[in-house]
Amino acid sequence: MIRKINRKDDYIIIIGCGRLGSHLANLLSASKKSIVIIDKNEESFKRLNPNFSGFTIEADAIEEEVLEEAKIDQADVVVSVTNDDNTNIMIAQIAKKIYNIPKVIARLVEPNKQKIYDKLGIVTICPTILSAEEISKTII
Amino acid sequence: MNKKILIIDDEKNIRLTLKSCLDEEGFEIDIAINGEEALKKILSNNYDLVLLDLKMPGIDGMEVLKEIRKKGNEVNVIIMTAYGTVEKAVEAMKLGAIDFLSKPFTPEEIRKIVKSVLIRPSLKEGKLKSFEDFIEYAKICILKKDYEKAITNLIKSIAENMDSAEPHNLLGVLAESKNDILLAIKHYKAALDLEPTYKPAQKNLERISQLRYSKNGIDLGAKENDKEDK
Repeated sequence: MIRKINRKDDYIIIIGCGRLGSHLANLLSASKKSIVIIDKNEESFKRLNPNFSGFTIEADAIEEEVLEEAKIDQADVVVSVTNDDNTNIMIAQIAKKIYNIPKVIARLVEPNKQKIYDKLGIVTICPTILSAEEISKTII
Repeated sequence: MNKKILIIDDEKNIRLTLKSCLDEEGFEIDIAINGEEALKKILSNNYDLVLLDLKMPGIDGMEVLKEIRKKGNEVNVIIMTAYGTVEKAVEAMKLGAIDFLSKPFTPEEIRKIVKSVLIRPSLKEGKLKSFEDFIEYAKICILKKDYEKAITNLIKSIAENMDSAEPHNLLGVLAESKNDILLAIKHYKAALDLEPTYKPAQKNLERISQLRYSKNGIDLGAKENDKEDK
């Protein structure tokens, strides 16, 4: 379970502006959080609300220079939600090990890889598992 | 009375970010979405501070700055730039803008820089005590183009805090403005010796090296390749 973030000044970096990343960015922006969202494809940023207040960076976040440009050293939270597990795991590790970010969350696309993340001590959210659990709850 | 701040940026998301951050501090915020609107507003209002984006379509930030100074307007200006683009630092300094905020910025960065600029008018020579006092007073001197007095105050600030990179970086910028490139390099290197991750000095050193490259006939294409190689 992820602890709710309440501190007003949180500086949050989101990697991946797909359906999940953009929705998350919109929600956090509406809660007055400071957001930087990174995606390789500029078109992805069209998913953001017109009232999104934050920064967009069109670049590949696997490059450390891009994370530095996003001022990762000052981030309170880093969330990697691309559709590629390897990218998410790598970015989460960089954020945790090199920059000592207090809260790092990665999206898990393939549920079988959960163990790898657990070993690395990275908090994961797996939409597939969450959906399966919710669906089963409505049935049982 | 609340301090009046004008935010100038063509990107809505950035205007919103700045506005929501500064609203909370109780400032009176006004907005301009391009250079033309900015000029009109600056010249017809009394702002305490202007946050100016450099890159805008039409009249860009540097032109806005030139134009208002030409008309004798001395409003405080904080320049917002994309990450790492400090090429115009010396030009902006000569136009009376010394404070830079590189995008993206954290709420803490915004509040800190706004506060440090707004506090400057209350600083009086002879009553300066702390490292921050001397640094901010040196910036006032730079803005008034009294570079010698700025250097004296920067040296005093170093005496207060020998571990900070900022005064060395500013001494570098001042040396550059006098075209003393070698001295500037020495200062930037001193800043980096003290704080190896101090970004302004890193960028200045990079830029100044590129400057020397171009003087040696390296063309622009080569400079772009250099960037990609990193």
